[in-house]
Amino acid sequence: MMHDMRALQRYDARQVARPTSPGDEALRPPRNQDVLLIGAGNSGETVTLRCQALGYTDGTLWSVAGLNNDRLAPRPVPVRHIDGSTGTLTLTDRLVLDGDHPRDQIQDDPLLARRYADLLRGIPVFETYPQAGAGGHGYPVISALDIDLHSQQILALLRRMVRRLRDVSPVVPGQSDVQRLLQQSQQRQEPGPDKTIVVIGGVAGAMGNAAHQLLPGLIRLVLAEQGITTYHLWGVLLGPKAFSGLTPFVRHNYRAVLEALEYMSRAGQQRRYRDEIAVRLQQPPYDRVFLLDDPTLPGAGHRVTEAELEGFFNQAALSLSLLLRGTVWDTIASHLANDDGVPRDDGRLRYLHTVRGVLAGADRRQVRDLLATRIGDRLIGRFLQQFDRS
Amino acid sequence: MMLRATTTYQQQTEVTATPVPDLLDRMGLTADLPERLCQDAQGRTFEPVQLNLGDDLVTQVSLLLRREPVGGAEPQIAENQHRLQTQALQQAHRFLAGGTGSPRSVVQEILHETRTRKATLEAQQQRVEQDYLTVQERLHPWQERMGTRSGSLTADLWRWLVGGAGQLSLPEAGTLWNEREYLALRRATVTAALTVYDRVLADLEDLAQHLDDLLTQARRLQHTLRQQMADLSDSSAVFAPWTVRIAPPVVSAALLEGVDLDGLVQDLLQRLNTDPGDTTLTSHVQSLARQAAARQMEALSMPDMIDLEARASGDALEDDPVLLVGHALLAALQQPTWHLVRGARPRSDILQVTPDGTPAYSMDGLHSAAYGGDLDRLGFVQVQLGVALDDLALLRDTDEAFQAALQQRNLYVLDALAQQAAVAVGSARGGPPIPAGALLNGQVVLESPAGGDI
Repeated sequence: MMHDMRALQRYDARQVARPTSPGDEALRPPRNQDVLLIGAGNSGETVTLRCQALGYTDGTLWSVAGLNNDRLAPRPVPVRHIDGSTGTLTLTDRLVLDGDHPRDQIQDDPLLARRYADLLRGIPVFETYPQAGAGGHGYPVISALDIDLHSQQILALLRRMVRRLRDVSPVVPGQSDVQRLLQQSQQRQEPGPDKTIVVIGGVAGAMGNAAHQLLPGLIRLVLAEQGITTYHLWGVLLGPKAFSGLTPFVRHNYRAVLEALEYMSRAGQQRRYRDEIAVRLQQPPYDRVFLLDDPTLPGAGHRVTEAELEGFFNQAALSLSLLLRGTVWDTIASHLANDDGVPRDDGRLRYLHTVRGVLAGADRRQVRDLLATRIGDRLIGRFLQQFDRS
Repeated sequence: MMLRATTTYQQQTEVTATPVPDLLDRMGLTADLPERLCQDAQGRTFEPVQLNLGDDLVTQVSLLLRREPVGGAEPQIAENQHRLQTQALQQAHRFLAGGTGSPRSVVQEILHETRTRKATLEAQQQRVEQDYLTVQERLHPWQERMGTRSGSLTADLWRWLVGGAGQLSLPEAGTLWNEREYLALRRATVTAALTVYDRVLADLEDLAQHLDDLLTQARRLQHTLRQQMADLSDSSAVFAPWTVRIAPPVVSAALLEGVDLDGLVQDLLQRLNTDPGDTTLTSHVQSLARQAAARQMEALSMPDMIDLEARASGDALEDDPVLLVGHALLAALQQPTWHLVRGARPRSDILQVTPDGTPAYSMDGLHSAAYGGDLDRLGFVQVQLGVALDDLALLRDTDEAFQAALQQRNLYVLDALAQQAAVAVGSARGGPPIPAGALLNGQVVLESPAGGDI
């Protein structure tokens, strides 16, 4: 099979997939500007998309984005549009971190060379040889390397997604810098509900694990850049029992990320990225950390089945979406008293939470459409019975 | 013109078993139709003008010289034609709507019988036309000669009164004239009767054609609707991983029982009658069905749907179905989402979530929150808050294995933790002492390495 080599081009990882065509906008519910979900890794993207689908069918379009070093996108989810028709929802705002072999690029940057001398301790090159874009293979360090190598693209994604929370008007051609600044200042001064940014990722694998440790700092950096000061930054950690047997490092990765969050909750975070980007946080990475797991898994044997995993993802999406709906969190928050992780006499930080939601639902439109169809069928049956006798 | 809806759709009339000739008799398509067309409301037959030459001769002669008949029955005939035509069609429609035989074959029988009777009437028309023509051919020449003068008054008078040499006499002309008036009346009534027949035939032929079209549409629509029912019954059409899902097929089947189908059939036939061409059977059926469905669901709440689904099982309900759903939801809520060590005491908060926050259940410690939007949702949310790291059972269970793995390779993403682990491993292997405050055996310290990244 011959190829035209002149058509070959370099893949640009900075290009992020854009939303669907403007023609689809008419079918979508109104965009909710108060919630942003960021799914990191395969599990995180899957749960994020399913959360968005639940909101979509119920008439709310939450902003979502995906961050992954695996090109494989989450499976599209069937939804109902606002006109009652059905379609599928895909995760279109995705940044896939791939490109040249990551480990080859470390020595080009002194910062990365120093950092990864320790981070890659004991990890054979054989384990990390597979090319980028195929996941982190259970090594969060590999995903951290991908994050380091693509920090500019990640910041670009975060800036674009955070702008949706503020609905910043795009630059008007001919608008001067001063006019633009005045417009942005006016928008910032407009009061509104607090914004909620949620990072969703698995703890057993690579990308979600690394993202939970590095993304919060970058997100807070971008929020500060854009003048958003009243917000909630939540981390939703999925697993580890729900991922039993999927990699050899499930429990180790789980423990490592929790220790990291504990460490940063005490010491803050100082981290430098390429291109003079630096995170200097004297606050916890997340305002709230939700752990979602299913301790009953696996049901049999040592490895979860595909069905068990699907069930876990669906339940996680349901629980999280309920938490984000209506007045649910506001009601819970109003009941909270002093449960803010402030150290007690024993010095233990109590900032870990969990949530479970259950729901009974009815698709009224489906009931109505089915009823109308049945009535039509009965009616035409009577008509034929009367006039089609031969 | 389409089928007429009867007041009771399934009611059968006494004519269902009547043969078609009897039907046509009741429709008025009988041999005496021409005679009835010139009768007034009291049944009196129109009498044409007749000459009596013994009366006022001057007036009679002026009428006698008219080349065309006087007539005078035309308005009555026109009125009767319209009335009898309408009655004939009504009879036919009523018969077809209430009959039990095959409408298509019955329509064909009616058409056949009607055409047969019409042919008889057409033969009559030919005879009447011929007779009328003959009278005119004899009368017109006499009328023309009556207008000429020979110059001798006596000769002219003798010719008028006696005739002779092949010419009509005055009495003979008068007789012809009177006959012409009756023939003209007969001619008008037969023509009007044939018009009635033509109108009935056109209506029935249109019905036969339209009926075939309608039946084809109906069969096609039925197939489409059944396919739609199968598609709509598919619960996987929309992502909805609800704990309890109200089943649309069950609820819609229950609601279907309350629909007045007889009334809908009447409405359908009425629509087809009044709007036969512009709107299709499909759109009429779909419109009626949608309206009926909307009426059934207008005041339906989610608890109503739960109740309907519960009752659809046919079993007697001993418990409140809505309460049973609540129990099932709460049972599902109890499934754990993490594993804590014995002695861990998280703070717990549980809410019921309803569309607008109005409680559906009551229980000690149960608060309410709104789901938002006008949606059929009913649920619970439980949050457990304020757990510390070492309250997690999995961490306690994995400490030893984790430390062993750290000996082999780095497991951390953060620089500080990785460095501290490396130092710890180096110390364990006889390397330099561990700085104060460093990470040791998984225990987190408060101090960060001076000048370095975390």
